[in-house]
Amino acid sequence: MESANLTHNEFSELVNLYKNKVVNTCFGFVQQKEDAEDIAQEVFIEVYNSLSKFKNESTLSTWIYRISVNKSLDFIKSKNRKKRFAFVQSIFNKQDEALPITDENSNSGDEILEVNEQKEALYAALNKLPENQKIAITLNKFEDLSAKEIAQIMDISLSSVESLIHRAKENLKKYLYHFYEKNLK
Amino acid sequence: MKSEIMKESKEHIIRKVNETLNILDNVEKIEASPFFATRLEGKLESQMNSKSFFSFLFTPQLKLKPALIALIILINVVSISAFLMNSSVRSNHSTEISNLLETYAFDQTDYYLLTTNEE
Repeated sequence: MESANLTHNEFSELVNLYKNKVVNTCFGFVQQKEDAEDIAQEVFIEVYNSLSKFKNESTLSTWIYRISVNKSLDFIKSKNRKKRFAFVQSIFNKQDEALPITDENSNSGDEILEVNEQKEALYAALNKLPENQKIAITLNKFEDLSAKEIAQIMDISLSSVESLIHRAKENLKKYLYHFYEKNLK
Repeated sequence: MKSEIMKESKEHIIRKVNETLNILDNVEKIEASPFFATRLEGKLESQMNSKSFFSFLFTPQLKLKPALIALIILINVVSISAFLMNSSVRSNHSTEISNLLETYAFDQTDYYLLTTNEE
């Protein structure tokens, strides 16, 4: 396989260099490894098809991270649309759907939450964040990217990134507080 | 007593919130599966195969190839010729009607009067 500017070996090398970063970034958004891998495949197909359009206005890694973020967000939107459709269908089919554990649906009451359940609560809170806050904190926490690197990816100022991360943390605290208040009685 | 219980409960919640947020500071990185590159190669190959199926029609800049252009022109020429031939047949037919009318000294007014009188 050859893209417009790379040989087979060069593209393979690029994939090897970035595949873990891309999969991990996507995982930060979707929190499922299989989905993260599927999205990562789409990212590299996009990279392959669009490499001729890459104009060195940013670094290659910035560009690849940007595609990873966009593909992940597209996946989430698509998944949410399907969930809404399935929910509407379930109303008409009168089937009981097993809903994931969220603060709205949990009846754990006096049960002590295990680490995995804490993760579920965290992921649910992350998914409630406004999009830009989610992007900033996901890139910061899941990929250990600096505010400067995130600013380049999101094409915003450094101070905007710092503000987004700060607000994201405050919102996460708020969501988690409400969740535990409701579920730890 | 009640306020103490509430205070403890609040502290417990805050503790839980902080514990949960700490997960975010110690996230374990995941790695791509061993077959990631192989799967990707397969997808890119099937993408290339589906593109080449249509490539006989199009040049890389999505312009129609000359043979196809010639074919389209030919189809248009045949269609236009068929249309013109039909038009000529119709106009011959109307010329015949005009001749008939002239022969029998009919004009449109006569025809109109005839038809309305019959009603």
